[in-house]
Amino acid sequence: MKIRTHAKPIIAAGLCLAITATSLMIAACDTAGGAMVMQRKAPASERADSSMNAAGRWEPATSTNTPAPQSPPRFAGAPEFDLHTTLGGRPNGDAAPPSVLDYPSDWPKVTYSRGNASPTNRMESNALQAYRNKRDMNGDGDFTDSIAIQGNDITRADKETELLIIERRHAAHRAEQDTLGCGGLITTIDEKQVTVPLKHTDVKASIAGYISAVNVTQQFTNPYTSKIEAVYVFPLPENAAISDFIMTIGDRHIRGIIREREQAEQIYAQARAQGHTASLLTQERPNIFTQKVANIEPGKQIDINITYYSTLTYSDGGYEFTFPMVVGPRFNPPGTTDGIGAAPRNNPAQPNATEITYLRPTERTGHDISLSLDIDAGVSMESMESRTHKIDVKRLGESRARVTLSKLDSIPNRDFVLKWQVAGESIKSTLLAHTPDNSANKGGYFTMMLVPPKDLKFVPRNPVELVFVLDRSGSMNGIPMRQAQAAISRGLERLQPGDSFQIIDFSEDASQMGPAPVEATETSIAKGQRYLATLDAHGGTYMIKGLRASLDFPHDPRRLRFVTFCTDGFIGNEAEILGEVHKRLGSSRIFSLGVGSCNRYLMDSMARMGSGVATYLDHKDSAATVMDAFFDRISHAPLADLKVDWAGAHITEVFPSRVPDLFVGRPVILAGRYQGELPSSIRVHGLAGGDRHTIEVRATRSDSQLANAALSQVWARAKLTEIADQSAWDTSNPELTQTAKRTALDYNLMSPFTAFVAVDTATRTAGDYGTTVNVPVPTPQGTRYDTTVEGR
Amino acid sequence: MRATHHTLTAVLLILTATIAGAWAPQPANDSRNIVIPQPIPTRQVQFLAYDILIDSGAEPLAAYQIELKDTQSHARIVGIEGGEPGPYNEAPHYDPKAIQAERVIIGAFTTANAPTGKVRVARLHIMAEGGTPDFATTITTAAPHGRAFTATLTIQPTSKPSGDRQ
Repeated sequence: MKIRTHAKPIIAAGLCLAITATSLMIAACDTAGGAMVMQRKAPASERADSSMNAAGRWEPATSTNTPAPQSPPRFAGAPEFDLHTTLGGRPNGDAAPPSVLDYPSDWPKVTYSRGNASPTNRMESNALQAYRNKRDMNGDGDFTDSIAIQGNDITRADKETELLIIERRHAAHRAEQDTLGCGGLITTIDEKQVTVPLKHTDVKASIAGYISAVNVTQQFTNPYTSKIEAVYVFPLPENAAISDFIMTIGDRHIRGIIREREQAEQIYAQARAQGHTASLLTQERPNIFTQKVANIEPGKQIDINITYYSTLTYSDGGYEFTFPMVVGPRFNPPGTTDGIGAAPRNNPAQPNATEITYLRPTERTGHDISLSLDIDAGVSMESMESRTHKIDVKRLGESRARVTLSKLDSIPNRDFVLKWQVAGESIKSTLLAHTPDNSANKGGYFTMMLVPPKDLKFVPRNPVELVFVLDRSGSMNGIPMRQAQAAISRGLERLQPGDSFQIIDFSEDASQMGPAPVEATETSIAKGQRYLATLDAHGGTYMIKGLRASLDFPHDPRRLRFVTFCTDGFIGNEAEILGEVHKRLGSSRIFSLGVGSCNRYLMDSMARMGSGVATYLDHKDSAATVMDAFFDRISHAPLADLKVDWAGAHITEVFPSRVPDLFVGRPVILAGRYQGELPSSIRVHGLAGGDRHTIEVRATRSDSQLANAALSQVWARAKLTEIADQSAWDTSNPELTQTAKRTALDYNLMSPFTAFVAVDTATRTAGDYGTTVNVPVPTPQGTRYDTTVEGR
Repeated sequence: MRATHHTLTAVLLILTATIAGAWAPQPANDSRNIVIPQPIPTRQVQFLAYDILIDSGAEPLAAYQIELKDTQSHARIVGIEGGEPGPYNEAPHYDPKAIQAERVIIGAFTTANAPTGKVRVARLHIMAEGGTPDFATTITTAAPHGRAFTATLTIQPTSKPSGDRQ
């Protein structure tokens, strides 16, 4: 029996220290003419045990070696008040914002310094706003009264908003619970440790060129005194070809069997009822899965190991590896029959097919994550960075590196994104082929990466009609909304004479700046900027209304229309949306801009069906940079009407079956099958700006064990994606379901119609199957709990 | 070592091709197969475990491939476990197309420390409904350098471990 230990308390404490030292701008106060002045807080080591003296000045810690403070800073003489700062987010901001003058006289006085008083002054005084709210933060009937003062960080190009939060609490009730929180950027008080049966997730990825093999191990334990069934809803990449599933009990490894979903569910239910340890993996969306583990006895650990293959995204000179860590809270419009519900922890279930329970902002579980990647880029790597997480990088050569997620950044509350630039001109169109050893007909599988020709950059664009569609629902409240607004604002700035634009926004309803596209003039753009600034995020996500409003919008046929959706995509009715895209697309192209740890399945699918490209804007990205890249992409005509000359080779079932248009900086990947021999070179022809362009593709046989194992799975996954896209609009075609099911079973793949089940029939546990425990998850960093889980 | 690895890989390829070409379960000419049934009441759903043992005698077991199917159609495969600690401890891969017909084709090989004598190479987990499974089996085994040899395959119910509560 292996014994696994994890130094979580140490990691958690380290995380707290790191966040406190590097991310938080904890306000310190200094008296200046009777008013307190905001200052950047000293490093954690200096602040430990700090307190404010009677004169309103923060005093340094008496010992520089003491650990992180155990509670937020308090105001001298007013211990019921706490002080926090964070980047972004209006705290509990459904109350009407009072002016700064409304600041209550009986609260501690806090003002921002003005002008150029201090280089550490990060606030722009004329942007100050104050918000007050009173809310039951913990759901325990105890209210917290808070005031937030908001200003823009003028030291950052995107003027990231910073908040100073002052809270008045019921100190007597919580005195024993106060701990310093470490759940992301926001320092919280009263953080409660919630016991859950998921202890740890370990991710190990190997990358060869643009193909990745990822091994995910989830460690389930039973910390309770009676038997449980653990249920965990979790994300994986939307293009993951999940082909292996192993349940480990001690030193025993039981490989799960792929079965039709209903069969697998029946087997699991029977095994659970008879006391056998069993596990079931089902797919709720291409990027959302449910893991169930039945009959975990007290103190026991069951590991679930999942392996998948996928292709990486390449754009603008670099590859991107993404690993999603949390599912955002979805909104399900009335009538949604297959929704993904979001419910507070311990609250009754909602009537949705899948239910995710969320931790309150003041709660934290011990579940953490470790992640490592072995990268063999195949070409020289120039730089590597993750803007979402802290990483340790070990270079193992020009083209190889080992990347590890920092132990100080192990809370799974946002997507992990790693990008590496490769040497210029080193990426060429290639076809990678492999014939499986047991192939009966000497047939094989291939992937083909088509890189846009260089001269595409010199093809000028025609005037465009840009329709910005902004999701202003509750889940966008705070950082996501500001990021989306900043991106659209930049987009308006980049419009050229001859272009036209419109802004459409939606939550419960759709509204728009005007009834038709307007010419891009200085005056109209200024009007657009003003309209954009008035938009606030709240309410449900009726994306269908925004979609109809934007695609049915009057169109000027002289211009190319680009519809840009700026959203987190946190909805449960994706199929309805995608069906509507197909029905109403017309001549529009859809470019989706996913904000934060968003629903990438929806973003990618909309862009794919809309003949466009999906782009992602993390909270730490510069919105201007991301929008500039978007404009660079649409500033040149794409290479369209692509036709592949296979040079007589016997090629079958290439997916996607319609070769997507090639935009500057964005290659596409095709997957197909062949029989017999492949030619050494293949040509792809297309049209851009009225001119014919040709891409030469060199065909090679894979010598990578990883790629050899992956190619057939990647092909089968691409086929399932094509079927799923068609199913969104061809809803009454039973053949699609049968084909998808057959493909998934033949290739051992997860799909909506198949599931992995594993049962340990060698042992039985005593009693019935015990209590079902849902693993609660945090809301994604930047997504507010009160406007999503609680507010819906 | 590298040459040995290639040889064994080649052996496995041959074994795979052989099995792929002969889907119907049939006993191997040079192997003895022993199947010990585990009686269960009719119409009752039971979960059963079967140990898959290979006795290679004095020959080192460098590779094997086994095919088995319940001729009574009572068994549904619900998991395939690895063997006893040693080179065959990892759970073997199965043929996904065969498993759709409740036919199990598994195989594994080792490039070092090939065991001799009787060794549990895998454990089969099944859900049986309506009667007792009756397995038809096929086995192919090879020693290092790809030399085929005769081995005895035994499929027997897993004895209840001491930790079992019922």
